[in-house]
Amino acid sequence: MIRRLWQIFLAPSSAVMILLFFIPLLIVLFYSLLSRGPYGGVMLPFSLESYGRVFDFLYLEIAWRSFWIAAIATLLCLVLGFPLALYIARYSQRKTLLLNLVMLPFWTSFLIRIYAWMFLLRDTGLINTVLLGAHLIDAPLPLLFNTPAVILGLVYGYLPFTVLPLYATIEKLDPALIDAAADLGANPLVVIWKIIIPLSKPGIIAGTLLVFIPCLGAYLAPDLMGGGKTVMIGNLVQNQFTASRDWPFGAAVSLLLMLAVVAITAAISRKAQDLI
Amino acid sequence: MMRRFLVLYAALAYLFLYAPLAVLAVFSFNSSKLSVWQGFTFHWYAAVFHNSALAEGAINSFLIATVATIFATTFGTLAAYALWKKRVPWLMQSFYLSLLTPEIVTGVSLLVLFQWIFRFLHLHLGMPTVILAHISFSLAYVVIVILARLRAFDTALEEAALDLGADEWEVFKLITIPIIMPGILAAALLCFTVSFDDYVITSLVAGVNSETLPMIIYGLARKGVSPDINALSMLITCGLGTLILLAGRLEHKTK
Amino acid sequence: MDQISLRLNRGEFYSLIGPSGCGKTTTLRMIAGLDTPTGGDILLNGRSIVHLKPYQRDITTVFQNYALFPHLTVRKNVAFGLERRSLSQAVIDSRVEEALELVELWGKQERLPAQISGGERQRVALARSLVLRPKVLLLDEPLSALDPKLRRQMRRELKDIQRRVGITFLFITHDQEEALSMSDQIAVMNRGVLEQVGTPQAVYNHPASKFVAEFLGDVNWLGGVGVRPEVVRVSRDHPVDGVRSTLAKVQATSFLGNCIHLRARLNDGSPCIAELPQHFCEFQPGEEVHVWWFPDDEFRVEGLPGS
Repeated sequence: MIRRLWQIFLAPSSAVMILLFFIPLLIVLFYSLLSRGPYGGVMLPFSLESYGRVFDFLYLEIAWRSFWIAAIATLLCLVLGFPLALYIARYSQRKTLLLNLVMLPFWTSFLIRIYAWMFLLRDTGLINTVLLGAHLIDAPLPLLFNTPAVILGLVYGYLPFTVLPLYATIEKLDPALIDAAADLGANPLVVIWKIIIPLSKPGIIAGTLLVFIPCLGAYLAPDLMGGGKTVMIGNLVQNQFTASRDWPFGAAVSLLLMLAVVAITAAISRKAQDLI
Repeated sequence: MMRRFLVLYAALAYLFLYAPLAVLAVFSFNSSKLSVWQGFTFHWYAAVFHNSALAEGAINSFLIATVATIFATTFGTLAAYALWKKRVPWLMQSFYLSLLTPEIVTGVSLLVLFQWIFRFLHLHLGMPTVILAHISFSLAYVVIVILARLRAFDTALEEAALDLGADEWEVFKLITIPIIMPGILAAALLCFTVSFDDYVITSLVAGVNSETLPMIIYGLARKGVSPDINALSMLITCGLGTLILLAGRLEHKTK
Repeated sequence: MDQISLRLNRGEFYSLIGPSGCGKTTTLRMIAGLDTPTGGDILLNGRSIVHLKPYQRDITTVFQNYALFPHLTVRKNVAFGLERRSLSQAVIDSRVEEALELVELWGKQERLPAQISGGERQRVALARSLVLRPKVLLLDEPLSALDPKLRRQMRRELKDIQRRVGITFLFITHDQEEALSMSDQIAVMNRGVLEQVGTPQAVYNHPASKFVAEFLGDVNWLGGVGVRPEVVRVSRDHPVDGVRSTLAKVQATSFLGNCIHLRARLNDGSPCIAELPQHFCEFQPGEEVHVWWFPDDEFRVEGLPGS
């Protein structure tokens, strides 16, 4: 009787995952091997042409750009998030409250948060208006629609995802270790650099995973903050299914993105396992 | 010394996180379209409420989020419970994979699925496809959250119920579910928020008549910045923010 | 766990006692149906129940941490098992009242578990199990979470209740005083094996092994026999004939409140502790004394050097 109960419990979710997750991915694989249809969509014959095109310089450039933008965003999130995590873990009283305040913006709309930065950064935005009004500049600064703006958007969006794991790791560190180091004469910076950071590796790894992967496949940040001029993999894929109507190619890129995500996650997880 | 630096840094960090939203909030009351303060007004908020396209978008978003949440929470709770009792590696891995998958890939794969089905069934993209898509990507959230809650559950309670004469289904219904209900509600609220805010996946699988609020905001944002988006954004942010705080309160009650 | 065989008689207060990890909880769980034995059988009134689910066995359990349902009132907790059967509400209500009065908790039935004390929770757990009138009631160290004074009080009450309702109790504990004071039969377990089964007097006075002897109390191992401190007498004069006697030198005396422990060293070097009633404190360290006991009070066990 129990076995049937669990089967019933698992059935709906299994159906959803098979029908709405695995099978779609299989169809994507299938489509990536077909040819482009005249009005979008796909048609026979089978061909590896889409995969071949991925290696065009244009697309490799997009992939490369996506990787290093994601990498920089991740690095910034780690570097900027670490002191905050350190503060909350070791120097503050109301830890839960402070952590919740870090996460709260993330749970409201990502789109709206990106839009808020657009409001601040655009040529007629708040920052430029203030600077112009104070006569610090003559013409508006091009703060938006470029790659740094994209990175800013990504960091703003994903910063909480490094703060949380770093906090969790630092919080678990034995305060006796750090006190001992301080006791032996190490100044605070040395303590951080040589003791806290190395011991925070699990948090650093978790944070890297949680930021790098979404940034790699980002769409909204490069689209809105970059004004369409900074093309990342996400934008490329989206484009194939709307304006360009090249479904096989879009499918191929999607699949390769998926593979990259899985491979990187596996590699990072293995590194994390080695640490445990 | 270190402490003072960190306190200052933390203050700046929180400022960084909240300033853009705060600025939006302030300027949503600005009577001018420019970024110069020219007077206080509720004008833009009123405009939001009189905008029929926005109203339709809002209704669509609410409907989608509600239906998707109900299904995802129900399916997810049942699945999490079964997975807590019995290992099913492929399903567990699929949830993790689902969380990892970039939204663009999820959206594209679902679009491709629907278009392929529509070859045979002569249907169109619309609310149902969006709802199915939302159920698909939020299921993993619910399962992971509730599984975590279950792992902290005292199994002696279930054993006592079995011992006293309840069968497995009664134990689940009368003991486990009531006790983890705050966790389930928290997962549901999370699910609702994630669904309400989604742009990427929704935009790919929505039909012509099923525009959601994020899609409208995206369209407006692409065209440029305007105060009615400010007002709308503040309303959405406060609404979702309240839901999240509620979810946090509920999560806290379980502990 | 090794092979063990327990036999409980109807209406008995049967204790299963042993150190942590010896397998007593595992045994209890198998009887309750929460774990499955790899071999063997469990018979209730001659009927095999080993393949039955916990909710199909006429056996209930009082868990170590009580496992009261936090979202149900005391009354609903106690009524839970009854409501799973097809009984009328009136019958359920009267039996719940009966059970709560038996454990002296009538008046608190609308409270939640979080609102009552640890001792009261223990009684709710007991009432919840007893109200079902099981053939056997299993108790998994039910008193271990209580403070010592409450423990002793609950021991009396528990024994009282058991006698009144006449249900067979299988009581798990690692506290030998508890087992000795409450049981009709004791089974001593060690590392998955039953070392001895018998009445409290039998296992205490005639332990079958070194382990049993030492687990149930203190033992002096003197020249191949075991002698408990309370049967060891000490005197300056030579004792009467017919007793085992030897010379010893007093090392120290300790006042324990209700008795005195006198530590002595025999001439062959073995240490010895004698438990003397309170007013015999006349011996001084360094004195030469006679240490003696009646032969009936000693016991031999297997596997002891010199036996």
